[in-house]
Amino acid sequence: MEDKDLTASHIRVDEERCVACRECMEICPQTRGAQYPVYEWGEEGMPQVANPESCIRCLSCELGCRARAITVEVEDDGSRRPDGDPRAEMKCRAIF
Amino acid sequence: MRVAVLSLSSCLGCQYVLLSMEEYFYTFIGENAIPYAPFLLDQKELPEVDLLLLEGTVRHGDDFRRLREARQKADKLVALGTCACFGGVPGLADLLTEERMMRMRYGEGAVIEGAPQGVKRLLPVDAYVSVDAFLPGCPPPEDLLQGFLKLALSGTLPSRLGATVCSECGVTSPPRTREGLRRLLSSVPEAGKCLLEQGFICMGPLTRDGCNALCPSSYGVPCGGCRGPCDEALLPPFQDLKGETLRRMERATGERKEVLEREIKDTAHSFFRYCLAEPLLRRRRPGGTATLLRRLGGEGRR
Repeated sequence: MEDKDLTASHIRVDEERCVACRECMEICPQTRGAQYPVYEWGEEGMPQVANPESCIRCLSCELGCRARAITVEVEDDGSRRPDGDPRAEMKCRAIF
Repeated sequence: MRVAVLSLSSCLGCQYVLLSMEEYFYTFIGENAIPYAPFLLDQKELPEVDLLLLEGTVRHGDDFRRLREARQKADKLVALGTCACFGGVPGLADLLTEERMMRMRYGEGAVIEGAPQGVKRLLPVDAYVSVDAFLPGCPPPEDLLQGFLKLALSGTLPSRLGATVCSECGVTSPPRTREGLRRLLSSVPEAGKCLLEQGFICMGPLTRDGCNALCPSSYGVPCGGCRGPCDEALLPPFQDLKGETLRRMERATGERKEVLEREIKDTAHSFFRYCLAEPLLRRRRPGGTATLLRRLGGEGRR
């Protein structure tokens, strides 16, 4: 099997932030019981992106990650999340 | 720059962090004019200032008048501490009636003469006036406040793309033991291992980072959420601190949500200790604020 270039994946896992709770692997609809799982166990229990082409960009892993360690790049940036309350948006922009 | 410190109803803890900045505090008072800071100077009137650090929250009419005056006189207003940003611990007062609080604290039939009228519902200060920057924390960590002040005094009010306490936490996740819900009073957590996975209620996944996760990683105490909710918790699709934490607890303990809910004796203190007053977290609940407070064990204050 040829080696995949993992750096070219659109899913990034920040290993410094990751606490190895493995929640992403449980949430991801394309990992549990899938033939070509998006995530696989890596060293020290850290998730590793094994088959990025299986990803359906549902963003479950990014939103469910307790340590905000996962970033999924999607092309259409405008429709990623529903709009929040204007006050909340302002608060999140001005908070330190 | 003219910098003032004003406190509304609060414990004054955030002001003391200014003093605990050690050497930087001398630089701070040396390079800036401090015309008003009641804990340092005997000055009665708030003059016009460039930067106002505001701590505490609006608890009664008097606080509201001072807040409005402060907004008019300050060029830039900074909400310092979780009380100003999210309502903080005083927000829990919404669970009780005014009479009950007086009775609990001062005994049956106690009256304070000339006391200003209390607010019906507690709200963070940005619900009353516009706020230019927020620095939550109960109290904010010294290095964070120092970094904030350095940037703010150079002219630009800083903001920071935040993550969660878990992202700074140094623990590792143990294999789940599924022993059910655990409490610090009755069991000792294993050091260096994720407290949430061990069955303790830890608010780390939903709390703003910046504290270096001292409580869970250094002291072995579950995060109480003193830095307030993280960005994701304030924006859709979440805005549900209790539901999100229970979902994770369910996964960690192997108990059903309903069982956990029954076992958790004080839901308000467990999940909303520092942000019960935040309207964004109340509004999305079915039935609105009054129903949410009643469900959390409140007395149905109108």
